[in-house]
Amino acid sequence: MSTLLLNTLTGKTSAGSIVVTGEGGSTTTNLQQGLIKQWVNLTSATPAYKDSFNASSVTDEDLGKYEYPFTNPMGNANYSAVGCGSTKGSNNSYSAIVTTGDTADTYGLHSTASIRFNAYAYNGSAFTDCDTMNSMVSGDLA
Amino acid sequence: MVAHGTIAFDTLTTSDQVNTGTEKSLDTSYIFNGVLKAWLNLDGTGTIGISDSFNTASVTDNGTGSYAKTLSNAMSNSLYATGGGHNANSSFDANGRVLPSSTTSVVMYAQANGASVDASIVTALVSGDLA
Repeated sequence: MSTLLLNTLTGKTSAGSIVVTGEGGSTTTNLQQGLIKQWVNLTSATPAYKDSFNASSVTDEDLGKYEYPFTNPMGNANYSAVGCGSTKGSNNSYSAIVTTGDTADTYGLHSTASIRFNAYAYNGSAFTDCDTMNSMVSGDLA
Repeated sequence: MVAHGTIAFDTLTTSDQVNTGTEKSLDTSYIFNGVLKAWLNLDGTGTIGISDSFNTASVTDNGTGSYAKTLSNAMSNSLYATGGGHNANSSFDANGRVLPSSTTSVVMYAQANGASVDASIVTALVSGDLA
């Protein structure tokens, strides 16, 4: 078993591109493209991050609406994102739907600097706080 | 082994200077198992189009709020994990689903207020084993 000790991985041919051999042993995939660029576990009533990566201070837009700035910005606004939320207590029966914002900022921001997630109680037809609101972002870093 | 730009190793140790500043080690199994194998940002309105993506060969419009994505490099089986959703451009009651369809295809559905809708941002993330 060998150990490589270093702080930075940089591609040789292209600095932002490192190839990784896949599980099957032959097909390759791109390391940088496959890495999650931001993840957040948020308790939204306060709101506060329970834990996070590449997310600076959360902005409380309104009930059920939260904006996560990227510590290191994305290269464009066409990144991919996913989120989900769960509630308990008085909202125990609710399943929270989490949507992202949009580039036009009509329903929240989806920009290189930050992304907004909206939590909507499926059974309550209303915005809701979540005990746990999880999200991940993939795409191109600047 | 170091040759032709390839390094073979089992463990990666880093200072984690960007996040915690605390040195951490990672078995390289977590790298090739843990990286996403595909992601997609799709404009699902009108004539659908890929806004940005990774490991995506093509997308198909299967009707209102129903899309399929074909992978450039196939997965080894159909038991991989998916996630995704869509933006709230018509209603905040937006329910998106992304499901494995085959080793080379993922299906995506967008709904708002219980009805299928086309959305301007439809997202999909795929993790699992490459073929």
